[in-house]
Amino acid sequence: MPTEAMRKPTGSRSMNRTAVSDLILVSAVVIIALVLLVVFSINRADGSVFEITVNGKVYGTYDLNKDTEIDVYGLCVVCVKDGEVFMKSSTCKGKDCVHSKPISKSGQTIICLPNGVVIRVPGESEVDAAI
Amino acid sequence: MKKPLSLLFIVIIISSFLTSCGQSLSRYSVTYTDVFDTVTNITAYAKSQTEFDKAATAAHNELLRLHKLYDIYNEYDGIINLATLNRLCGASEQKVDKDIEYLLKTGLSYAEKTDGKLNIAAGALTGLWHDCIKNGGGLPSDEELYEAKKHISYKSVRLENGALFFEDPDIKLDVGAIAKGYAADRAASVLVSNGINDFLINAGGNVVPHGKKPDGEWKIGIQDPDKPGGQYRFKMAVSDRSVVTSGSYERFFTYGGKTYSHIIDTDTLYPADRYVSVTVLCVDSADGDALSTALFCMSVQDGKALLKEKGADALWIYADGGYEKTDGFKIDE
Repeated sequence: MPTEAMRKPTGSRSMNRTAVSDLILVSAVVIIALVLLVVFSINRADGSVFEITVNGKVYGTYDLNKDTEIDVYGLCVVCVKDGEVFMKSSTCKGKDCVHSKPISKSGQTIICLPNGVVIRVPGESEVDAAI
Repeated sequence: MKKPLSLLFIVIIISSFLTSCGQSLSRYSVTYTDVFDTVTNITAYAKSQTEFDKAATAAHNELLRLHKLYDIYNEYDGIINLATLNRLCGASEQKVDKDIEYLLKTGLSYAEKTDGKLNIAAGALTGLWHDCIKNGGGLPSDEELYEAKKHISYKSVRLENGALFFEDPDIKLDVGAIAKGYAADRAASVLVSNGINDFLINAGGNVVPHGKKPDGEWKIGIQDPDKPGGQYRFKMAVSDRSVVTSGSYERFFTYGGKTYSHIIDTDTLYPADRYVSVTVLCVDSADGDALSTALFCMSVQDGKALLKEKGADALWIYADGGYEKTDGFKIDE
């Protein structure tokens, strides 16, 4: 049977070498895996950026820690201050978006329904849907 | 001999690593603002952004199609929607689309069951209030309201063999109370047929969960009416039943210092104000939508009888902060 043939012992010297090189190989793979894991988890860390979309299309992604004002097609002005983002002004009638509290945590959104503008901090929040 | 073996080993390890990356599901989310005059959010676990985008776009297209079909304010080229039918069915019988027929049948059966508390033929009345909310002007006058009341009998709506006719020519249909629920159910089917099994749709308070999250059940937060936006009065886990909320704090208008809800009680002819919100747990989101609206205009006792019939559960929140719920409505804390 082929498996028997494969299990045929080789010389003790070559076996040691194999063991050492395998050990190096396994360590290398484990290290690479750990590095990749860290890179992935850093990429997934939320709360440092936010995204603005208009009618479903991404307008831009911005840093939450950089104070700035963003004019979105003249529809509204999004303001970033002290690590929070809020709607400073909007051309819509109800102004619900302007009255929304500033957001900074993963999964939080501010939405201007009439203008189709959504400000979102990516990621998962404590609930998956708010009703 | 050793080198090729080591190489093979490396290749196997790396490829298995990559494969496991490819198969693990990641969380994706998208928000739509162009359907049913509300915010619709889809959150799902998918293999890739591409897979999610494809499924979400298909679901969005279905929502857009139904939005147009059930729109009572605008007509569109090439389709006979409710706005068209409202214009024509008082004069002559019209053939209707299957999705309109299904929704109207559901609505009419609820109208029977609730003695008109849920009334899809109340467009003449809801239209008056809708204009008030839209224009931010005064309240409708008593004369206008009583005139409208003469033309909101669901019994004047005749729907037979896919053909619709209004025996009262001034009837106007308004399916706002049930359309979102049905549409959310349909969007869920579209996601499933596109290979997505773990997702949550929230179409303006109509939540349809499907499958699970990798780390457990979907979590829903019921907002605190006094503190809207990110603070929750109750939290609950859901898996197999839809959750539908009718709330006066989500869509409302203010006049003379008083806040009015968007749900009109067809008995008082005024916006209902018994509760701040009613949340219904129900297998079918269309049923949940109908029930939550009907319950919003009923006593808790009458509501419970209706829920029993449908095997549904509910949570009522009063303006003073108190609440009531059925035993099957499980909340955290």
